Amino acid sequence: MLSLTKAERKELESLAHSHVHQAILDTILSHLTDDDKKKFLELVVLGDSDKIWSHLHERVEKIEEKIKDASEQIKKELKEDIAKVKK
Amino acid sequence: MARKKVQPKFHYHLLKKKWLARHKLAKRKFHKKHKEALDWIIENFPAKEQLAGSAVGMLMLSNLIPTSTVLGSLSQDPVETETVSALDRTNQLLDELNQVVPDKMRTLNGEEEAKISAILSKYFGANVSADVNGLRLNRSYGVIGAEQHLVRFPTDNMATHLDAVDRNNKMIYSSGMAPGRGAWGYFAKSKAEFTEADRQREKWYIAVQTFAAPNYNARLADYRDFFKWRKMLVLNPKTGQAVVADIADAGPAIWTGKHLGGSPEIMYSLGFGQGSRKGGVLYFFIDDIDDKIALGPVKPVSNLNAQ
Repeated sequence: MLSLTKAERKELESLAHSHVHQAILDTILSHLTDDDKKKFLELVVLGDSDKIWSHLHERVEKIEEKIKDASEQIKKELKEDIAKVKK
Repeated sequence: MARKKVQPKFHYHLLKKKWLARHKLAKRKFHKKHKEALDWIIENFPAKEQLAGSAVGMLMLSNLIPTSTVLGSLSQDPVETETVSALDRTNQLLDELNQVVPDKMRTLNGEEEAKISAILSKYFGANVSADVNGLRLNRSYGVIGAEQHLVRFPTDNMATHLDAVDRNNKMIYSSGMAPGRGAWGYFAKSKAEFTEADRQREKWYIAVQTFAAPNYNARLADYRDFFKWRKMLVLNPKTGQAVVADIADAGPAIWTGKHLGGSPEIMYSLGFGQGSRKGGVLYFFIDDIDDKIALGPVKPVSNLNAQ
């Protein structure tokens, strides 16, 4: 079991979240053309979730699966790090 | 040979070190890979919208991937998510600065100052410059050293000086308080008159070599008013850590080999909280005539007015 204070845990969680989110964004952007990347980021800025998803679904096949795969990979790596420090 | 078991108290430090390195590398690759799109979004949308939008973007992504459960073995508690690092342009900023800032510490020439002013202004969304109407310091790239806390009003002391968070920061607490007052005297006449603005001014103060400014003696009256509480952007060019600071003291002496001093909070925020507590920094004036830019740490993600 990890020995962490509440503040330490929160800081590590924040770091992990940031890492996972970046990996997801990287996956999305990597599957879009330059123009579609800009459109996607513009929709993110505007906060229109419906349009974001329809934009992604139109441009990238099985985008949800790709995002899940990316996050699973990061999750696996982070869990391996946790397992190593527990030893 | 049997492997030595990791002490539980080191779990945090080991994970943090590993994850920061992992994240830093990923971030660098991310920015390089998607540079054009990221530059485009930052240039085409006001900072406020970017930040609000990124939070929405995060919510959108979180709905699909519940990341609070991604690390289930770490915590069961829901936590706040960090603003997406896609908007943090530290790596890009450093790439550009590295092309201008000299490896060895020396005075910058006019051309270098102009280039760095342009880079900092672009990344922080404010007018950042080495001089204002011909008034300037003796240099804009120098070695910053650690200063002590300044007494803010007549009865101020270390027992009451810091808030709860900073009291638990050994570096900030153990720095102690300077015996004298700052260059402008007390920040407030009494505790009763002490305001939040005063608190921020002391917390994020720098001491600069006002006495070594060009033509200082000939323009004494101009300089006295010019330097008082003047805001500067102080940036560690090796890490990109940056702080909006205000001038509240004069120093250090030329013979020290240092060119400016920073409050304990400044030094901590610039990455000089440990070891020799000194290092090279860029320090440029910020045009903030309406006093709208907040003091404290900043990131090259948007404009200073929005942070």
